Amino acid sequence: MTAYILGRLASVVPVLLGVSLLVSSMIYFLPGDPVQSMLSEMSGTASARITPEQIESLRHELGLDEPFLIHYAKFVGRAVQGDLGRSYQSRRNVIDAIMEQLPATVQLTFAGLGIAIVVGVGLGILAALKPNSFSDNLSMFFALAGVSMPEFWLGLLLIFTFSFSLGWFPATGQGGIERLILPAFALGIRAAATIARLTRASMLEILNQDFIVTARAKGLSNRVVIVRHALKNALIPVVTIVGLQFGNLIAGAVIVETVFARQGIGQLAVNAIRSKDFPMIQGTILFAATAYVLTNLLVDIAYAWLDPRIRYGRS
Amino acid sequence: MAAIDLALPTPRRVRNESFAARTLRRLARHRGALIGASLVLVIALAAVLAPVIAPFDPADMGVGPSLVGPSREHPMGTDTFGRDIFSRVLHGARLSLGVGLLAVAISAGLGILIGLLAGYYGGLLDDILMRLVDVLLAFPGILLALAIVSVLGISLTNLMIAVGIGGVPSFARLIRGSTLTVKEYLYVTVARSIGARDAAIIARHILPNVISPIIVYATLRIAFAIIATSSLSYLGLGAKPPTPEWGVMLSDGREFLRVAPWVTTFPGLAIMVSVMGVNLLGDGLRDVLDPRLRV
Repeated sequence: MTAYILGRLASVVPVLLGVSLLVSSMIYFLPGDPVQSMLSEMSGTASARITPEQIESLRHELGLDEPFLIHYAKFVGRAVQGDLGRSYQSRRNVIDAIMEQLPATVQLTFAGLGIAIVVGVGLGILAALKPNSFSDNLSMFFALAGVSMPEFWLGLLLIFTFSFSLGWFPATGQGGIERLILPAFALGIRAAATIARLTRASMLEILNQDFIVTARAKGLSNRVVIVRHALKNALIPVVTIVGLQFGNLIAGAVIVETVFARQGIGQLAVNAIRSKDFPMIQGTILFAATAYVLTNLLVDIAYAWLDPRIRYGRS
Repeated sequence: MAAIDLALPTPRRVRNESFAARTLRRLARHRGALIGASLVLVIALAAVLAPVIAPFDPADMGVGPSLVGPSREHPMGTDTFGRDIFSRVLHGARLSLGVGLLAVAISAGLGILIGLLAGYYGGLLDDILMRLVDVLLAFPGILLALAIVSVLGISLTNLMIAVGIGGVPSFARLIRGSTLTVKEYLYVTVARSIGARDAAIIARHILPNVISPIIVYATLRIAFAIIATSSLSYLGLGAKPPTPEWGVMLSDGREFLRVAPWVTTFPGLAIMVSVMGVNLLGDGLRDVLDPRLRV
């Protein structure tokens, strides 16, 4: 197990180095002059009015006047110390801005994940218990609709139905569980749909296996067979997909935060792209990718711990 | 087990004919695939015939009063500028389908190239390409497209390229995997032994055998591309107003959600119907082509 964890940890390092290489080269090899567009975006003046001195000083601040490898080495050196540069828009430290927005995004992502797992596994089991029945068809239709709906439209539908028409929840903003429920649903439903289909398929496969027949033959009640024997085994592949869906949730949070006008790293990133605030774009994207890689690392380790066959299967 | 048939070294021309015919015959018996194909057909017809059947120019303002609900004259109502939403939704189909298809063509084209090179040559080239793929896969979901758009600049074309590149790594992985298997087949060794060049072996013997397994994946990717481009356009990172792109239309209608829900409802439904159609068709193809992949 230790060897597996160490091996897995070692495999993450080159990926993160590659990610930082791509992100740091974003400004460096950009077509057109990002420095010029940042300056004109900032000052609101036409690019003709920007002096060469302004350009030179910003190029220096961003380290663009150095050879790329030095630029990259400094970028990584600072990043591992938690320094992602300063926003060109607000002049704040990028990492401070991210840390300030992080709780809102984490809250939303985990609430979305919770809904995805509860709704997804629930529907999947419901569908698998009576294959091809009405409840199966209904659950799978729901799953199909769920994967086919973009988060932003589902979000608008939820706002229209539950806040404008029924008045149950506030439409937008921050704070309190009542402002979290709708965004969490908008974020979680697509992942729930994927999880539901996988849970159903996995349950059906397990329910046809010999040990389930044996358990039933022993006279165990249906509930014990389903919960204790089938579900436990059926959920193993579901754990992996949950890890992968986590990435979609991080990306989906970008959209859901905008739809519900919530704070968060997604909003930070979208605003940064709109205003060409490159240090902030780099910081948020590097942060999100790192979070995703590390989460998958944790999921893999958890998976290997749950299912020892994995450790020998992969190398 | 259809997938095993696909990999058999039978002559290509003969296999392709029977393969296409057999696939179509099985699809015609698959309920989900039929529904999916019908939905896709409706959207495709809307896209192709938009200029003919749209009652108004999608960009014309004031063809009706501002923000009136669905009526005989405006089946989907009008937006705040008095533009006809039905006409805009029809023209939006051209954009969404076109952009979705092209984005997947970019993903598949580059992904196939990278996958073939990495799988066939192996060694250092394989290591370098696959490390690159791993790095690209570390950007979750649409974030890679988001990053690429921020570099290329905001426009619908750049968004399409970004979503296309975002899909390259998964195609490359799949193709590399099947290439590794196919290149060990006897007929590849035979081709090499009679002096066929690498390029000819890849193009004539390997490519046809690694493409069929990704047909399903490519279909399902179109659904993802439609969602990704409309989502990023909604965020203001793709098509710009007054383009009749579905995501942009939803973003325009957001303000009037309370008083004029039809402004967002119809483009939203259009996205859902297209994505659902493509998904159903893709699921059907998967059941027919490779039952082992069923999720």
